[in-house]
Amino acid sequence: MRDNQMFRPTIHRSREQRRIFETAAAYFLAFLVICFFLFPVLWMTTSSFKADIDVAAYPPTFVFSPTMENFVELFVDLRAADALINSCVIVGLATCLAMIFGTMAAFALARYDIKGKNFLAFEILSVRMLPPIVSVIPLFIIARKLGLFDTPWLLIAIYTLNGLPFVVWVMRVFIQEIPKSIEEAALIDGCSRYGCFARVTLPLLLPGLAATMVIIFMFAWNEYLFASILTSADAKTLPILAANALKPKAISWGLASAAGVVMSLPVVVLVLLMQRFLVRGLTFGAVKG
Amino acid sequence: MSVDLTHVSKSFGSFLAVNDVSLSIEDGEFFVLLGPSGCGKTTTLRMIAGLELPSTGQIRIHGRDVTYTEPRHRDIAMAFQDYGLYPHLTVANNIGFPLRVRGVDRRQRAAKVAETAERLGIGQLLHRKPSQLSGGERQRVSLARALVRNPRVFLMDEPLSNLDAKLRAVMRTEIKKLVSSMGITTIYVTHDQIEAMAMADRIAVMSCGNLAQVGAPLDIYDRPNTRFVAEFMGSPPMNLIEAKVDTERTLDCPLAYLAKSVPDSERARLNGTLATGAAVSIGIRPEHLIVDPNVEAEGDVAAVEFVEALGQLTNIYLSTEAGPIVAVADRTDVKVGNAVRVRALRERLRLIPS
Amino acid sequence: MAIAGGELAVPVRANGPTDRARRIGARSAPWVLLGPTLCVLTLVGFYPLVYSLYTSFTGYRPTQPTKEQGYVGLENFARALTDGQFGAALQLTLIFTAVSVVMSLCLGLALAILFNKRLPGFPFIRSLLMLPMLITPISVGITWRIMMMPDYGVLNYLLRLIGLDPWRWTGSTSTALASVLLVDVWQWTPFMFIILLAGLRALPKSPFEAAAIDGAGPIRTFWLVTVPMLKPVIVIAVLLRMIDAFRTYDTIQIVTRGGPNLATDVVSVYLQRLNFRFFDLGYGSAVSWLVLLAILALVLVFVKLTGFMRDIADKEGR
Repeated sequence: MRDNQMFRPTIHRSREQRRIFETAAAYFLAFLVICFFLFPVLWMTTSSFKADIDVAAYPPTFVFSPTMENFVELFVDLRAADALINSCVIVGLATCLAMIFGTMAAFALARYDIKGKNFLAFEILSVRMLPPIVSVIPLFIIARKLGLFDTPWLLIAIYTLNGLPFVVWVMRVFIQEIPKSIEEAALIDGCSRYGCFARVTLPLLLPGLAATMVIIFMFAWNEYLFASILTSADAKTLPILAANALKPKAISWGLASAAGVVMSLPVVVLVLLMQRFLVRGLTFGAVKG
Repeated sequence: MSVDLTHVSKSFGSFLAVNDVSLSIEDGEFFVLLGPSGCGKTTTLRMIAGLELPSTGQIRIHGRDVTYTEPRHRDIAMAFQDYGLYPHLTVANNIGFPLRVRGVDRRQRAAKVAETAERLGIGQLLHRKPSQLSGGERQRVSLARALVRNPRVFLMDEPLSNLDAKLRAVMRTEIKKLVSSMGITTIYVTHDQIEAMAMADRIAVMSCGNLAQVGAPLDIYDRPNTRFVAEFMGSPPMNLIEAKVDTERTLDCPLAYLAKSVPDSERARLNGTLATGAAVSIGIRPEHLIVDPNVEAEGDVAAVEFVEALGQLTNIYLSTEAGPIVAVADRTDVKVGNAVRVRALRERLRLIPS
Repeated sequence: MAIAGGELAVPVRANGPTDRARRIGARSAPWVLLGPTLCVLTLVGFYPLVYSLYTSFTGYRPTQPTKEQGYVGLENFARALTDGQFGAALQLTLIFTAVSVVMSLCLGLALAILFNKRLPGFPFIRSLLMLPMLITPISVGITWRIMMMPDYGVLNYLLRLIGLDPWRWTGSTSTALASVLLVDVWQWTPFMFIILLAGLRALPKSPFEAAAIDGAGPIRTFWLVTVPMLKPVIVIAVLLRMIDAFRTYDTIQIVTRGGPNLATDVVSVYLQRLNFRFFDLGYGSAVSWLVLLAILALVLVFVKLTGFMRDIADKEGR
């Protein structure tokens, strides 16, 4: 009896110690990880508020007087507002189209039995494997021939294409998650096929739709290659603007960083707002195959 | 006739799920489609519902040809195996959904929903969501939603199979009482023959897409037409002892006493269809066998292999010259290894073509 | 209660002409739904691809009107197969892809295991970790370029601070590839991390409990239980990342422009130069197609090696 009482507190204490050590180690590692992954982000943000002298200074200044002159130059001299509007319109439209078309296609693949269904699904997915560089030349030639160069239309079409495989893949999984019996119950209860979709399926798909939309929005928003080839002055999008800030004549790092901040902010805000849905969205495809 | 199926078949690609099924279901009848998994009973039900379209054949509800009509125009209601409740709606909105979709105004809807909920004993759950309910409660919501419109035909697809055994027995009685009091024609699909026996006015036994036998529960139980039906109904299943038609008056069988006991009426019933030398099974239900521990008595010789004392009844597993058979008796003193004599209640013997 | 609903009676219809059409409608519905997607796919996806194939058989060179512009047969392809620069670019891209994917996989897996713990503040940290992949790749490139400046860059400053020698980063051919890999791994490890974390979370607890009872330590549990169970997730993550790494363009273009001396001249950068600096479009198309075939081959080999298709078929119950 006395032996037992001696052992119990010792074992308890060493387990406690181990747990405290593990927790401390975890936090320490987490700290290192954060430093590594967030430092460049912080650097970009602080650089955007630095005057040119501060940016190129050596040793690098960690304490400085912040200035808005980069942002001013961005919006006034470089007409960033135009690029911003272009990006919003082009990417917004493409995202909507990809969501609508893609969800329709996903519904067809999930709910109907079609001959060659898997072949179709693979075809849609294979588009994602194309290096954009392969389609660039013909699209460039087509753009010039049809007079679409430096207009938003071709870019909208391309971004829609880029988003489609992802939407189809992920929404298909989400739709399969909804038991068929719920839709059938709605059909029997009196809904037409469209009514059933609108009243029952759609509300249940909302988290999946939100997640998917944010992701394809992000990829289109950040796209550079096609935008650089197919636009010039009028239909320029934000990534082009940022790259232009690197013109070899007088590289203004502050300006370039400011462009980076302006460009990345919408996506970061959107994603952080939608986080909870995002992890499910991205990984449902992965985890559930 | 409430629901008529005429030569209905359904193929999925090269797979024939339902083969030439014809049924006539009466008004107000509780009709059960019974059979093992994959026998086509659910597919048949779904064709009546309009969720599948038949490959051939015709379906009529109350005299109207509805073979290709949309489900919502058939005036039917359906209860699903997984309940099919709308997870994003409250119980009240779930029940009221069919009314809302048909444009019934709010006040009428609320009244009808409350009334139906009360009747099913879920009046206090109206504000909850399906995820907050137990299996039995969800079952009731599913029923309430179906009944709120007073449908003429009520389809049920194995609604009790996801409930535990005790709840199943309780719900079984409740459902039967409910639809009987409302006089609704009910078509009920299940693989559980006890459920079918307990609830049905008539049963249609299906196997591999075909209709094996249609009739009242006790009819099917006492007078099965095929081996399949004989073995499917009853637990433990009917004993089937192989025999050969010798002459018009005798059957050649290892269990001679049993064969002798088969009444002439049975032989007469099948004579037209059986030639001399044809194989036939003598069917006798375990509860209709008499196990006599007195080795000098009349009957066929058998040895006791195994005894299961289940409280109410005792299962006795016997080995005979014709193979193993099962008998069911009240409490008995028979022990493993005993030699016994086996007799049958003559009027319960049934001849089934092999 | 009587049969039939009275005022709540449902409009019952018998078969009408539209109902017979239902039979046909049921067959065509999925195709109507798939229509727009297939349209976009064909017009914007496959048509340019076919056109590009056509161009690859011509000598289309708008800036060199003296050279042959029409059909040249397989000349472009022959040239590509003997082109040292293309071969080098391909090799570089393969190395880049392999190293980047493996490193981000290992790092991502480590992070997933670390952050799988339920400690206060970790969910917040997890969200922060997503930032690298959200920032526009162009900006990522710009920022790292700023940081990696040999003389003014903050990275060398920090290195000197802790007593290490400064690096040439993108300034020297020997370190340029490593620098670019660093940027890529930095940017995309969070992507692997998120997918792997979700996969980890979805694993059932009982095998781990069984392993603990069987006496397996943390390392054995990791190799013998965690990794095999995570295999489908790992395969998908690696496949996606592999395809993207092969196609990397934005960051490399901004950080090194393929230099110095073609040390980071991956296939996309090489093609960009071919097409839009030299405007050697016929040849460029041929090279593009070879690159496409290379990716397809890579994917096929990968799929075969990992039994990917088998896993998917199993899941759908076939």
